[in-house]
Amino acid sequence: MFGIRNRIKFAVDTKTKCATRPSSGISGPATCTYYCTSCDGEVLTYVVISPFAVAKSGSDQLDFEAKDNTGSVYYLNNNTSSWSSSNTAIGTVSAGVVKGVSPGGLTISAFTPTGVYNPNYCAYDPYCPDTQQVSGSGSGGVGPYQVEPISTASQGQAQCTAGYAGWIRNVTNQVQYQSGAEFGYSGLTVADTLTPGSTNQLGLKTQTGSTKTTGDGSFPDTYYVCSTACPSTNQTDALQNWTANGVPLPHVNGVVYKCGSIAIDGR
Amino acid sequence: MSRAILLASVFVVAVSFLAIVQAKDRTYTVSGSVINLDGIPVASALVTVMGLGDHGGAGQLLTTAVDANGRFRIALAPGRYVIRAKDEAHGYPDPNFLFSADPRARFPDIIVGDADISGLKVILAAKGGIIDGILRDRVSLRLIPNGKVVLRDAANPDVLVQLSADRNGRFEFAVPNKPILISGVAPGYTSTLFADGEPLTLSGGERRDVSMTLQPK
Repeated sequence: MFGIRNRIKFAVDTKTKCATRPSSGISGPATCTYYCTSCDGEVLTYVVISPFAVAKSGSDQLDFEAKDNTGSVYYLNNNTSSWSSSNTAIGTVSAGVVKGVSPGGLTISAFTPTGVYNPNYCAYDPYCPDTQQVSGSGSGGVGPYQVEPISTASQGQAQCTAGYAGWIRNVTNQVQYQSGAEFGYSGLTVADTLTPGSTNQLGLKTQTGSTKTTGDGSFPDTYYVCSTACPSTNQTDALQNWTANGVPLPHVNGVVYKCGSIAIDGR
Repeated sequence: MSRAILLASVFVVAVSFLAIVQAKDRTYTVSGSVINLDGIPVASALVTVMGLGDHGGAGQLLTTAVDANGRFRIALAPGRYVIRAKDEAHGYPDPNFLFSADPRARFPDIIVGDADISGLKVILAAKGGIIDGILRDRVSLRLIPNGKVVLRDAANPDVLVQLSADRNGRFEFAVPNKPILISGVAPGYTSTLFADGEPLTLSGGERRDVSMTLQPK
């Protein structure tokens, strides 16, 4: 079963290719002489990579796409017969399906060897070929294991409505390998579900949320409790399940809410 | 005939169950705007949503940024919520701390039922300021990593916020527009009061260096 479909996007090189008139809405060939002379719209040149996260022994389907200057997206999986992995000891790829072998970072590349992409660009002067070869790559990792707080920015009494009292704690959480090393990818979608355990004196309801990571796999997060049962020695025990890009992480956090503290995995 | 009735009954029960599940999972749009005490939209505010049950709530805050006109929209499941906002970079403190409470601020306490809610007005607290600084060893003047800075409401010192300095001894925090007491502490050091315990009051988003040197024990 595949998780979220990640995408490797790219556009073509402006120096050697030009596009048809973007405002015409008509897909026709560009005018080419020795140099491209009718570039009606700049072709975007960027590589957008959604980092992928694959569980060890798990798999994920990657998509290979091209985007032209008009914003049109070309889905190329069906035309791509060449996929490769930068390190097959960490992960392998076949037909866009990445399989996790062992924890680590990985780059997956895709290539259309037969030149099937036809966005009507001038390609290599003075030819105006109907097709061109394109390639792209995306990075990601195998084996995200857990999300743990790496620092507490601030904490103190929460401002609650009348009759309630509680605590609030701002932390920086980070996606990590089992070793505790950062799973350092920016733009990973991390999502969690907090589920109250059998001890729930402070009124936690099952809660979900999601956000995206920064470059070192971290993101800010705020835990709070506001309860009519505070102040007291009451507490709520909760389990916190995480996913990274839809991949469930093996480690489940234990969160203990009290009127004067919030502990995550005992810290 | 009886079999047809049974099948029909099963169908009705199944449809009812699906309807209940869908109603439970459904979200509604809650929208409004964030303004300051002068009624001016705050375009760089961050809206926070605290879920509350009848007897309390615990979990994680939901957040969403406002647009250029200070407007926000967020999808919420049925339930009770307190909508607040902050703009710490410009001196509007985090109102989810009791330490930052300001009676002039207005934070809607809403119940999402079975319809969208629009037109909410979130009124930020008065602009306070931003404190920043470094914790250093008083003898060697070396940076003290991972120390703590404690901020207290001078009028009610039991109300506090504890800040964690980073590994370079640095800290930063948006404080409310009221007198506060500041102290620094770290393992192996004596707790130190900033400005010999004189309350500090910031306003208008001003920034103040409150670096402290701590005496080794």
